[in-house]
Amino acid sequence: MEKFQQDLPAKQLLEMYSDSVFRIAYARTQNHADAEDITQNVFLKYIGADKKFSSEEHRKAWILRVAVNCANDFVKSAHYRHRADIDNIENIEQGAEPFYELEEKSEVYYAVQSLPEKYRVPIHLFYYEDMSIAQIAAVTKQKEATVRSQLTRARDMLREILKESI
Amino acid sequence: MDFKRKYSEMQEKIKPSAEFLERLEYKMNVEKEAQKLKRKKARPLVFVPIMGTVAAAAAAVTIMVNFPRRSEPAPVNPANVNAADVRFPYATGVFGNEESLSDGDALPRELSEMLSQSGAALYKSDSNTFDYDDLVNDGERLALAEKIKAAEISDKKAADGGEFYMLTLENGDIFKFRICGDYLIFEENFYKLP
Repeated sequence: MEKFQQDLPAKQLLEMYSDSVFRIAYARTQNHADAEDITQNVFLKYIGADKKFSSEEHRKAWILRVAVNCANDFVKSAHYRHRADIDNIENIEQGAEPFYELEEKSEVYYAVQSLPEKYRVPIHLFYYEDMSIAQIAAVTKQKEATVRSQLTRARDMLREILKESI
Repeated sequence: MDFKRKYSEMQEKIKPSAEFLERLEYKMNVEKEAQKLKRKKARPLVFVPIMGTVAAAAAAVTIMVNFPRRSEPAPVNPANVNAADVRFPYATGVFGNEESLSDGDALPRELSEMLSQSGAALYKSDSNTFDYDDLVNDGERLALAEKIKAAEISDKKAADGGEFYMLTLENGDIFKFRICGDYLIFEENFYKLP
């Protein structure tokens, strides 16, 4: 068994977790710049907290929980809500694509982005991070029943949009 | 349809940019260094009497040697800033164009202009909480800009955390700030010459 290293160099930490944090932030905001702001905040909080972890799983759970919290705080902020309103108006007026430019946008991408904000993170943690309902509940600080219900509703919506089984 | 597989493939394309990660790594290392400095400052109590005795002896020698001859104020050493002197805990300003700052006498005026801009943001804490509760109001920000305009750079030092500056205002107030990447950080060391 590999020995747990308490203090990881910044580079190594980013290599291990920056993609996961960024994707959670992106799942919530659907905006590349906002996701980078949130990612930066999470890792600076990590340094500031100077927390001791008992294992790599413990560290990962802490980082993902902070990522979810930071993303929640961000979308609740007056700044974000105000800007999101302006962006929507501008995008509707200009017919612009409001989301991050992926080279090839799949139907899955459009289906997930059409879900309500609160469903995107549980879906992401479940399907991409392979977390159990109990783990998602711990990370998002919600009851397991709430997470189960969110996943069920999100899957129903996705099934409806994609017209296929999930 | 394999939703999980397609979703995972889509996620693999969503990544932060390499430039962003490079900047973030630098900022994290700067923060780490700052944490180490903070910890060094918090010395164990057992050393206080010893350090106090040494400091008192050093101060006595300094006074005996310098007092009859010295008329100008002693140069300020950033390392000697006392927490009790903290009066103006501005911390972080994000303006986005720090690279355009010069490195000489014009710096205070340029800082003042940046602070005066309508879009300038200055926070009272060193981390962006995204709720904007700690945003310095326009009146305070403009007052600080006005004060800085006629100030002088009295000391400058390059360190791992960026370029550190001591800025002396006309009324004798001094504060320390540093420029690090695209952040302008006002240290919590705003104090006055005795």
